[in-house]
Amino acid sequence: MRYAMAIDTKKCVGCSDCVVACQTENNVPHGYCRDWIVENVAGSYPNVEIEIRSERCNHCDNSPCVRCCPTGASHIIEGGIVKVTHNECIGCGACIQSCPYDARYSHPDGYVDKCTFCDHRLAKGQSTACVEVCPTNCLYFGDLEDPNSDVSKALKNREWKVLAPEAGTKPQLYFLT
Amino acid sequence: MVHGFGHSVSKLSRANGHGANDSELITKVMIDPVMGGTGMRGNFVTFLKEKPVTEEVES
Repeated sequence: MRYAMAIDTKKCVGCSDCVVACQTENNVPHGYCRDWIVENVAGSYPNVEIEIRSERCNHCDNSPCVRCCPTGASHIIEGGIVKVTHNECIGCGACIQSCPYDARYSHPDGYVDKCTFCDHRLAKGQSTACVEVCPTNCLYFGDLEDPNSDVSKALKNREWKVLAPEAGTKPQLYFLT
Repeated sequence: MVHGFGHSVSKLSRANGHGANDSELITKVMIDPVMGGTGMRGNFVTFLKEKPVTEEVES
């Protein structure tokens, strides 16, 4: 089991529905977010390209945040999901500094919080809140080891890239280009 | 087509099950050379009034 997500940068319109759905589902405090939208413009006319990405924690295979956690609050659960145990976290912020994707934030209650791939929903057989709510269906989520999962099919048929491959974190968020 | 209807998530109670989802009709995207963004209105749709059966269309 290896959960992963693919994001179609051509279909994403940057509506931020995924951001709002996540905040609602996971009771994220006002002013914070576990996922966010990035809009990149490159080139000049007539070869301009806009890339809109819905980003979140990459749930890396080689996660620096888990390695640097002094209390073991950051850990990896089944399916490769990186999680934080809130009552073990001392809020030192080392993981926030170590993340090349800036995917973690300091919760006002004194611990570090991040995307959990909605593992509470996965346990019920549902998909993540962001994937379910996406109006253009540009997010694909599933098990990479299952060749029939949405994410495996999307990666098979399209070209893709990952963010900051030079960091060596082996991220599990794939951006279809 | 009016945008925003026909969503599959039951929690979006206004859009769920009401009307048709226009984004489901997007089979391909085109790049707008002026601003570099993707245009999603380049899809042709066929109205099948006589025999409304689903047709697979290659994009």
